[in-house]
Amino acid sequence: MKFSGRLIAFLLLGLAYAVATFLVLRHTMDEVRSDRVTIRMSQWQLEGGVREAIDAIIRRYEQLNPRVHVVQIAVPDPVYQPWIQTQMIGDTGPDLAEYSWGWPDIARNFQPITAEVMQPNPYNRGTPLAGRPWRDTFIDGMTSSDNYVQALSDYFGVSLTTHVMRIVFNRPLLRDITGRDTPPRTYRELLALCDKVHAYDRAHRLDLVPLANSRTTHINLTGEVMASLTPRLSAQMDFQHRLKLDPADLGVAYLRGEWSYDSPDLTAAFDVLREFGAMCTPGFMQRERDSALTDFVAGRALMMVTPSWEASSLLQLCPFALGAFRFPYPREDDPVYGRFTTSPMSEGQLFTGMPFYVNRHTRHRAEAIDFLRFMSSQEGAAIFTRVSNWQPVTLGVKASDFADQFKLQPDGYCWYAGFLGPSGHPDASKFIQSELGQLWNNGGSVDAFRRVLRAGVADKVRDDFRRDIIAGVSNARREDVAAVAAAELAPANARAEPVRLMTVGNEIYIYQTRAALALPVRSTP
Amino acid sequence: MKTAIMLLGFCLAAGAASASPLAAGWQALANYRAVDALRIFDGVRAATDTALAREARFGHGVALLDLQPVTGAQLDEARRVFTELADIGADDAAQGARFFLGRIAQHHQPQPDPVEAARQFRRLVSEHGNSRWAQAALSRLALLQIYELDPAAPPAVRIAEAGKLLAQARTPAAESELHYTIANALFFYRLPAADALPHLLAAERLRQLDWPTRVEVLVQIAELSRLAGDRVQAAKFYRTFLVENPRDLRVYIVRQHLAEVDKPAP
Repeated sequence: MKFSGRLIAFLLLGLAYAVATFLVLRHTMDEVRSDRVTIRMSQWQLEGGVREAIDAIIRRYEQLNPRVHVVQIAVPDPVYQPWIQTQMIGDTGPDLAEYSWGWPDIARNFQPITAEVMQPNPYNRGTPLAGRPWRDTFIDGMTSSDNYVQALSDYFGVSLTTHVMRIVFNRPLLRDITGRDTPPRTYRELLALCDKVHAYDRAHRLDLVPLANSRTTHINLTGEVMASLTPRLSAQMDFQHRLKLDPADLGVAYLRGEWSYDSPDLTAAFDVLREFGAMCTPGFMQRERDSALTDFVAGRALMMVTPSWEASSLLQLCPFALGAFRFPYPREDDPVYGRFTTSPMSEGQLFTGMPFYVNRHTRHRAEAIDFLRFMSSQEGAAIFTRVSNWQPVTLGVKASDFADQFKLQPDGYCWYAGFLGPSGHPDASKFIQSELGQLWNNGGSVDAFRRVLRAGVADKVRDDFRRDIIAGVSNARREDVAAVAAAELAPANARAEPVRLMTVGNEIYIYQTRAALALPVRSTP
Repeated sequence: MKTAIMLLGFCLAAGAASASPLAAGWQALANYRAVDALRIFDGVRAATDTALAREARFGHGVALLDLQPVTGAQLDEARRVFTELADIGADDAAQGARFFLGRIAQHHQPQPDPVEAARQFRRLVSEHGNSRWAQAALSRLALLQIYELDPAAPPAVRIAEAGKLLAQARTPAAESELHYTIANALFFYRLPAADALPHLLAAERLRQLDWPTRVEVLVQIAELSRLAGDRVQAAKFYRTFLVENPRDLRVYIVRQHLAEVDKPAP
């Protein structure tokens, strides 16, 4: 019997159709089984070990709750946001969705869990966390923007992990170059190590660089370098006496001319950034993180700037032993930059992330929240870190040995400042990021960088503030309606309670931002 | 049939909260379902019970503010409904309608009209000063006075004008919001920070601040007290902050400052 190409093509097509039909039917049948509830959760973390960790949590949860079936939907991050928003608009969204506080329509798509987070998590029964409000069982007390959505004054998200930036290094290669496998402890030791790497490279003709980096992975570390050199300037800008600065505070102060990129502190920070850039793979601002990863795995870089979420993948990819250390920022004893620093320096606010939100229209609210409780219990978090090698965020859960190297060091001074994004929004920060080449390119300089910042940042801050006002007013409108609805639904004896509009703090921000925009535009020096 | 089932669902969902036939409409609005809410309110607008009919018209106006896309014609219709309700009657619907006339001018129309918003809020406060709507309007009126109504006047004068509204505050929530608004404006205009301290203390004492605001206010009171040389008060608020926010990133700096004010005076 002879098969023509066309027949084979039709057979393959038919087979594919049959398989697809079977899969859809199986999925559908699974959902309609009357004896158990199916809840679906979506997330975009496809890094090594995460899907497996969530599957492991689900398996254990289903053992404890045979009546509930949990389906994980892993969606690649480049398409996740449009995918989830389409699903939510189409009313086909999953019961639980990884989401972010900065994305639109939280109030329309998701429901608050404020009442639940004030109650103990039953899955922590028998542990030291028993009886504590769920909120207080997280290492940050659910203070992250992804958990407590300040614009809506409610808790929405339950986080699963947290991340920091580290320098990961090739332990055997470090030993070959320096004779020891311990990383540098000070900024000057790091500079000396980079010199040694260059000398080793020249001697062995290896095409080796000290530090692999990319246009995306440098961002957090760059921000920390800035923070390490600007605590004194930040303290001067704390006009509200909060011992912290929001980027928008800095934006207002910038438009008022209360600080500039010519301040000695910022000039010193730019000098350190320039030295940092010189350690990295030439042209790293044009490279993606995959290129940095390839350089490091192939032994063309001794170290790599690594967010901890990449580290679990590295563990699977690297054929050599790994180590990790915190970037050794210049401290008070540094001969050049010491006068700008204040020790100890905190590694920044502990931001828990990978938050899961409850679909406003889920038919299985109780089951969805119950699963979140298990996932964030000590048992669930222990499974998560063991299988994924990511950080746990539940109190009392020890990170896996590998993940422990990526544990955030929060103690110390930190002003939350954002001199490289003085508005807290994309226009200003993207503009500054896009101009870092003025600092890092061949022939680049601190002066050239400051020149473009002087010329361009104020306009970008204004653009961001305009966007903030639009978003703020839109929130106020929506909250007005929700507030009056809540007020009218209140029992008659509670009608004297205040009408719960958008918080006055959020409304103040709208007016202050407008006032900042009304300031006269200063000429560029 | 579908509508009937939906209505039944809303009624069941809302049943526990309120016995009003309009509860399902308010519940729909709470869930950002303006189309459903409008249908429910419009079904009751012709009710013979006057109070019920007025509440339904009020609900109709509110739903129009959330019916996407919100058009100019919708805003005009909402304004017309609210004006009728506010001008005829003094009940809760009239007060809420007056509040929303101010709110439309303040935030809902494409070009805000602060003068009109302030006019509506002032009328509400003068006619129904004790109502929940007037009390909610007070801090919003203060914002208009401080930031919008007279930008040529010195900020200190504008803030002082807003301070007079404190005399109208009848509820702890309204009073707290006004104190917080004034303190915040003093910081924003870089006026002497010490002047903010009594307002922050008053706001904290009223115990109405939402949690993220309270965290900031505790630090601000402690810091301003330290700068003013009131070591005992500073220590008290640093300690309160540490007890309530053990995982805040400022814990380290706060401990340093607490140790400083705890030292015996030189």
